[in-house]
Amino acid sequence: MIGERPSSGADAGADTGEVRELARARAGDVAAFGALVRRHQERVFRFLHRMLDAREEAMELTQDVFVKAWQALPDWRPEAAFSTWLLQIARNAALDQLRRRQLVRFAPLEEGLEVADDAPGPEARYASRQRQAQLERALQRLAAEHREILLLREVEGLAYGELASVLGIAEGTVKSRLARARSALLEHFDPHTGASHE
Amino acid sequence: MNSSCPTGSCAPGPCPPDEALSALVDAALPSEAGAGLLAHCAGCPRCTRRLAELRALGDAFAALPAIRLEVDLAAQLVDRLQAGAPAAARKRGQGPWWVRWMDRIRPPTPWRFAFSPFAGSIAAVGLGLWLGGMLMELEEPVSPPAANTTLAAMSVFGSVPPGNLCPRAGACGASGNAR
Repeated sequence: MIGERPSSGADAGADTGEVRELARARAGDVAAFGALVRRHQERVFRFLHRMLDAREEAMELTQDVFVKAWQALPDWRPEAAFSTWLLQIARNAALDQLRRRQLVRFAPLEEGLEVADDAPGPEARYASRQRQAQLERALQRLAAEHREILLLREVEGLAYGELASVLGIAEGTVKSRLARARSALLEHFDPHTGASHE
Repeated sequence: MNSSCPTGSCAPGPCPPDEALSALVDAALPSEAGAGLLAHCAGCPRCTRRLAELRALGDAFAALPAIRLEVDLAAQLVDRLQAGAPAAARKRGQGPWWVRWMDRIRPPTPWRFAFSPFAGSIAAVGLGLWLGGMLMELEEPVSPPAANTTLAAMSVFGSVPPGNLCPRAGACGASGNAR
């Protein structure tokens, strides 16, 4: 494989502690499940927060995700990485929530972002914050299917196989969807300056 | 990114699609394909620019501020789960087939049982049996009427209403009076 950004499959394998906790949790040990929650709560919350762009909502949904995981734990099979499985539940929960909000967009929006303030800030730090804010706003303008795949790849570092598992699509589709998502984001966001292209 | 590169500055071959460049950024291409793409990009300003944009996008994501939960959800969840899902209930769906089948028909708690379809079915059957039993008790055994029994009720069909005087002798019963 050639490429400058190494694939960072954060879910490559659960450590032995997690394996033990999973076994105990599957046998009904709530405390062991609590330990699993501690391991994964930040990741699930981060993903939901960026999908929904609402902290409180993401927090509630994170709890719901773990409750669903607890209920479905007997159905979980070790062949699927636990954190990937959790992200799958989180992804479904996020889409349900967005549907409830009626904010799901299955096609990229045509309208662009407001033009960013191109004037450089007094400090580079300020400019950096502007870029981050612009990226977050650009993400919210994307279709949900583009936003989720970008977050799972770029922020959570899922490998293509894991993306296919979480999103329920073929790896070939992962490749094309990811390319379309990046392309859509680049239409709204200049990663060098943080400015909108419109 | 399917268009050809400007003449003169192009590397060998047509410009790759965005999909290939995107996969290159993710290190998701086979070695030969990746090397070919890099060779192309080295001689193609357009593809070089596009590749740089895709990489910068990754860098921009990496620079996003961390989002922290700042709450221990685990503690809240453990309390919630211990209150709502006893360990026995957790084992539903596990074990041999007959245990799983029993799990399906045996709700985990009496309170949930009260609202389950089983409770409704059992109540309906029980009520039916009870009402049926009551009807059976109300029905008295039918005995054949005695030969000389006079059905007083039939007198209403007589020609003379009960209590009236007989219009002529023999028009009424043996007593001579209408009953």
